[in-house]
Amino acid sequence: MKSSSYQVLSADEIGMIHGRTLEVLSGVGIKVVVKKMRDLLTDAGCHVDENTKIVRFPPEMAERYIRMAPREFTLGGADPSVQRTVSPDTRIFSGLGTAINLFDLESGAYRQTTLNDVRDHIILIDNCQHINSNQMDIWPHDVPMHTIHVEAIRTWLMNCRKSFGMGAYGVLATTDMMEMVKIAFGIETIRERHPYVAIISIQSPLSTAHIQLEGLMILAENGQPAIMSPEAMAGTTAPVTLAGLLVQHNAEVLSHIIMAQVVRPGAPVMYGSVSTVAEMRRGTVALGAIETGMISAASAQMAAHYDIPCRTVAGGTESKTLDVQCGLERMHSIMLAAMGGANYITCAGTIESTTAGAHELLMIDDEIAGMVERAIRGIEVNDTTMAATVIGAVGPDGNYLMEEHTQRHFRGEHFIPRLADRDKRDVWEKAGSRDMAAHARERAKKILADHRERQLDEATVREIDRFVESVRSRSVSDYYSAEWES
Amino acid sequence: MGSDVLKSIENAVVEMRFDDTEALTRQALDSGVTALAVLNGGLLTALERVGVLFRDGDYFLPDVLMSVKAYNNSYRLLDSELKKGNYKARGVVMLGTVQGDIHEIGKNILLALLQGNGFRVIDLGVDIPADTFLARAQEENPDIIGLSALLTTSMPAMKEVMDLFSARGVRERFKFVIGGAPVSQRYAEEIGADGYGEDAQAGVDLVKRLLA
Repeated sequence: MKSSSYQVLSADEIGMIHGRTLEVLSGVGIKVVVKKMRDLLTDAGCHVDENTKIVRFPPEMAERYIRMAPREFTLGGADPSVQRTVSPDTRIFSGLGTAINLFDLESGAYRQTTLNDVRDHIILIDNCQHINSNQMDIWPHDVPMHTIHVEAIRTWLMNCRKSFGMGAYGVLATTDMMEMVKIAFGIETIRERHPYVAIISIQSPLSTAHIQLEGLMILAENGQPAIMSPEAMAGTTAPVTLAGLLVQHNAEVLSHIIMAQVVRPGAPVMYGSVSTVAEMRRGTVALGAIETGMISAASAQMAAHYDIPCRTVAGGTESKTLDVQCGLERMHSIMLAAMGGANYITCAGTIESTTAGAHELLMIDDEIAGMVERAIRGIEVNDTTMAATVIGAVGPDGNYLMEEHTQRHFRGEHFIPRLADRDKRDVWEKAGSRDMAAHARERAKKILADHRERQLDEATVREIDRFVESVRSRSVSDYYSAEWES
Repeated sequence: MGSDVLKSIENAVVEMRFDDTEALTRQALDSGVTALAVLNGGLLTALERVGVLFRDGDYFLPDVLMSVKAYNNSYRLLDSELKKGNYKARGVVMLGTVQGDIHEIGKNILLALLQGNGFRVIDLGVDIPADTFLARAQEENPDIIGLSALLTTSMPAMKEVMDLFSARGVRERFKFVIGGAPVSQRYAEEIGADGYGEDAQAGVDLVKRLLA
């Protein structure tokens, strides 16, 4: 059977959280900081206070709009051969982060990130076996801030077959994102296959981020998927109790899902969660906390209740080095998110609360994702796998290594790590006494050395380059002046 | 025609299709290809490829062992003709697990790999007393004697074998190699063995080196 999943809420408890959530949405409400969105919500039946910008969602209206969100959508790759389905029944691992520093693959130095690091990360994702989607992870210092999004998208298109995405940062940037994917794929393709899936960060408690909300509206207008993601912290930006956090977080996610549906009924969305507990000595975030996985599992259960796919953070750690803490925190959060039923699991390759990166960790996360997939696949029991014939043929004191049955099944039955070292000490010493991180660095270097850019049609490349040039000629103030009334 | 069928035999061994190797070998011999040509042009090139796949991490022990099984399915048909000609095995290796130890997986992997590399292997089995090693060595006259142990408690039995050969004045007639989980290069030096292999592949390399 498939392994039993990790559940933290009973059916009754899901109902209780849903009930309290509707009370919060209709009673306390959500602060919606874009006027255009408030107008649409007024038309859809919400109660809007223009002075406070608080929008209250009547329960019947809320439930009606939540039901409009589709159960599944296609997540296409930059290459049409790479295509996955996002639904409550599937699971995809992805990168994502806000790394502004990185451990240099060659020197090991901790240094500021560059556009070349963005490229390397995208190439590595392309070559991962189990991580099959890409999100903006590394934020470069060597290109102007207002061009990062187009530089990243161009780098993705040139180097990776899998899907991509990043946060939706305001009117102009999000419009650029849509323009670029239209240049690369055409409007029909992006509506059908969605090679680009954006993250909408939510301002907890119970508010909206201006530029993110604009981004949400533009994505929905274009029929492009958006992942509604609060990073509520129990104890600071959410109630300290996990159930309290879940009520607030649920209200935040649902309000954003409703807003997407108000803009365009049927707009593809994910129920997101980056929520966790606060670090109670300093009031900072604790993504490596065991509770992150518990909240991820609860989010997956709530999302399943609404029949919407769920995205959660995983692999986050507060560790600053590639130490034991770094390893165990990434493992438990990935494992619990996957066992909890999350459908899009992000943040591979990060460290330091996702603000720093290490390419070797991306390789290791790929291996963790493989182990987790194996654990969830469970144990297959049938006549062939029970192996009675082979047990009889080998008999007492024999061994199975030379049996055809062994050769035929070992790859499927065992997860075979590429990076974890299982050699005896003397063999290991002879090979240079390298640990898992060293094996991972070696693999990353090999992938980067072997990489060739994708062969795109020349006219498309010219158009993409032209578009990037036009964005370069803008100034930061162009972005501010393009924003909508708050 | 000859080179086509040799390539097919090579591929069948690499792809572990043991029934095919047998049929293809018969077909080659029937069409007049010599046993030596099958061995050199099909089987040994196949095992070289298997060796590379293993070294690169694409093949694992079960794959190598199944390839060797496919090799043996072909080699059996060549053996009598090879013996008539000038063909000589690369060397003769005698293997056994020492007294007090009944573990044989490691030894058997080495055995298969040695066969696959063109060595003749005499397998004494497990729990073999020192005097049996001596008697059989005098009978078979191997180039190399391999001693295996998995238990730390049976390691001293390796030294007993070495000591018995020395006492009878025949130590220098044979090269001794040792292997097994608790054994190390240092232990090999302590008991005066000629070499130590940390795993089966290293064992094959060691044997090749000692006979070079």
